[in-house]
Amino acid sequence: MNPSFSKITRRHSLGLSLAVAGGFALVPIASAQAEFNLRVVQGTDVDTLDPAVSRSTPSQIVFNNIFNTLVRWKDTKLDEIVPDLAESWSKSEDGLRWTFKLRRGVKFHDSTPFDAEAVKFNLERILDPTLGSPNRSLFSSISQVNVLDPNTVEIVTKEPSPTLLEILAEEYASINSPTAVKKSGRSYSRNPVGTGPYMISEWVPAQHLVIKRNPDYFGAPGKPDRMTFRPVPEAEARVIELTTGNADVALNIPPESTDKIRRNASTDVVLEPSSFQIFFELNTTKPPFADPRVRLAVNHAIDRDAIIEKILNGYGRVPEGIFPRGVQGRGPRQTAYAYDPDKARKMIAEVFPGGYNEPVVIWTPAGRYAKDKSVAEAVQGYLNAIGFKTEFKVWEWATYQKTLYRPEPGKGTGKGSNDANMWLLGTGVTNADWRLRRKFSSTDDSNLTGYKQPKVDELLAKASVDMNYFTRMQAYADVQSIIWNETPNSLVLFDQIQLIGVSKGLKGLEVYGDEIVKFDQVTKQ
Amino acid sequence: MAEPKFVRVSDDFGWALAPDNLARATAVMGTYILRRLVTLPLMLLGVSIAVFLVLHMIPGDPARMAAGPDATERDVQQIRINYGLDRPLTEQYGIYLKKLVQGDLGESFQTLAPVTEGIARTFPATLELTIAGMLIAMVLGVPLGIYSALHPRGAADRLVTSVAVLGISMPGFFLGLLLMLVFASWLGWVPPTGRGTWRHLILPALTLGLPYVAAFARLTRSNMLDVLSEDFIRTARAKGLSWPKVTSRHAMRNASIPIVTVLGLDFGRLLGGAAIVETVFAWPGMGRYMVDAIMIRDIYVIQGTILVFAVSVVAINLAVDVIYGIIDPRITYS
Repeated sequence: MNPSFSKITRRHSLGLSLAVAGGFALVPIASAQAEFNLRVVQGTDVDTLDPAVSRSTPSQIVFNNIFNTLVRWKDTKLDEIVPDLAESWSKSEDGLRWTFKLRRGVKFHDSTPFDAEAVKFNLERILDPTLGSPNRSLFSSISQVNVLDPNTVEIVTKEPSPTLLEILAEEYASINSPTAVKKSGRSYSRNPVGTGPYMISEWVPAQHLVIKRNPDYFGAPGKPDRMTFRPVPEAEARVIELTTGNADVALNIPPESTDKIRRNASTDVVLEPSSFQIFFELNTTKPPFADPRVRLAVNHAIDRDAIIEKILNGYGRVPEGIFPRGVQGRGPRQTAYAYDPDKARKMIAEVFPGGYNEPVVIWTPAGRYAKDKSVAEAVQGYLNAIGFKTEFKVWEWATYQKTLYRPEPGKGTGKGSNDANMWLLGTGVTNADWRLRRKFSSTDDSNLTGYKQPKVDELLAKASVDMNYFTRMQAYADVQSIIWNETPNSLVLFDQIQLIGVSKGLKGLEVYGDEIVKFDQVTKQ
Repeated sequence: MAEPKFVRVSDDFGWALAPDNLARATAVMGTYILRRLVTLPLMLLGVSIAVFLVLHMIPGDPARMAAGPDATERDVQQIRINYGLDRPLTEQYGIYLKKLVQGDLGESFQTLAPVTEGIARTFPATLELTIAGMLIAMVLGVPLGIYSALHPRGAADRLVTSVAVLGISMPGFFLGLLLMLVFASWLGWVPPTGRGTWRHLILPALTLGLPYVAAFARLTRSNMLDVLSEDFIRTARAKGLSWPKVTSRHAMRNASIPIVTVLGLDFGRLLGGAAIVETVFAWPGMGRYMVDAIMIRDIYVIQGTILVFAVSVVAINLAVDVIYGIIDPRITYS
């Protein structure tokens, strides 16, 4: 029962007649005990239900229920990849050919059989430039997908691609029903068909999305009979939805609301580590941050405990490395930068004996990350305290993005060529390779700081073709250590903590560092 | 909106309602509406050019926003090509206009869904909310105004003044959260957010309408007081009509012209103001659709929704002009 356009308009044009509008209350309360409808409120809406083109967390939470991927991560530790739609796989000696044996007897929700042709169709679709998928470049190492027999598919890569399995485990590598994609055309994004434990029941954008259990699922059947996802942008309104019993789960709870949820007899707050780290990127192409000693020095100028306590109500962690918990390949814990303004002042005096007299230009967005502007203001205060003159500018997010990623003729995006010395950003990428390469490889387009460290470049280049998982993760750990102790590219601020409001008695949430939550095994007492 | 030309000359409308006069008035009105309708496409063309230019001049890169902060430059460039954002501005506008004439408002960068579909989905919700808010403002405001005009400097009068100050100074999102806290969280009478049953409509409509209650009451009051001091009121009283009849037939009818004017203007403002209320109450309306699009520079959504807002405001003003003629047939347009 997919929502069709004509149905949506017809219903809404009748919206003025209240009696009619009253007829479609979400799920009758009377049947609540007979069936378990898990009601989730989140801050933003699902943007599209076509996994290939989406990058939004609310959508990916839904994809995990509707779709399967060839392989998947075993659990939130992100250290083992296990079979999903592929039962087993092997790679050739040269690391260029991967053979996947597919699970037999799996059917999509529209009864299309899942087979090697379906895998080929999906991978070629995301690689097609006309689809315009923002995820396309992640698949660019794939040169060919061959159907060896109905249950065997071979993926050929241009160069050895150690991250292939990790990419195939991402939500955007979800396997869609080829029949449905061809049939729905542009409207496929509203009528997704997968193989997963749930299937789409109804989606009214900006209002609610309902999925129901797939009775023929090949794996462990989902526990809730239905799930209803609703976007409620206002954080305080999400809290009220939860405390009044209108929702079972409220995602992205602001720190200041946690007490209210805890005080309520029937609700509680779940704290989970987050892969999001917030930092100031430092422009390494010009003074004062061209010298790594100054970059290290400013890391000692900040009282992170005070920022976390006073601004974040205690809900943040002092970073012990550039990878927070919940990121793949997190190296050994580093020593947190101690708050020592005298040490910072001395380190800076070594580089600038007469002091640094130009203003340091600080940029920050407002309202994008938790308390971003307040945190940035605090940092400005700390930098002033060690003798820097500072200039402060607050940006609207879209303008900020454009300014930071401004293309330079012949150089791709600007590498440190903008007018600022430091700018606040955050990242929650859980993939080790992607997280490091974007920011620290000297040739990557997303390397905005102009960071160039030959040893880091060398380690990353070696890792990018290293087919041995263990030695590759070791290389990433080495990179993390060099960056933390010798040549940082940023002033790290804090690791976020995920705050999720739940009704008491709710069990079985699987929370990933990047705010993806799996709900299919959730039970309620 | 044309300034209505009218003179109060009579204590009754009898002459204007004579058949030949009525026919003449209707014919004049018909031509007027026709003329307004003819200029509508021209006005929309102007609006579309203005919106298009503004959207391309404000900073922010739609392709980058669509690709997401982690995208590579190559992906961003591909999106630019897919949506024709790499072409010269005039060419982009030409393509846009050609599609517009065919009723195609383009597609959202974010959801890939047609903008016409998004508008068809969200506009009825906004209209429902705005009309409900307007009704609340009128149903509470106008009687309150009449009452305080008939009892100047009484308790109701003072109440209206204090509520007016409160209504004007309290931001919509604050009032919304306050109402939600009291009526949804503490009392549990209505659901906190969402759209579905009539109970979902109550809080957002109140939030939208309450600030206008006092404004309407004050407007009604001052106009009623003006009219009540007119000669024809005294005449009506002198010929033996009762106070209720004088107030409802003579005074109210004359006092309602400025009220209708403000109503028309405020309706447009309410439509726009709905965006905040829609966000607070997770109401799936067009204001929220537009504001979300502005945040991510979803160009075609912004253009489409602004055009629809513009058409709505024009339509309301036209309706107001027609209503003038119905309330007071002496009003003509030249």
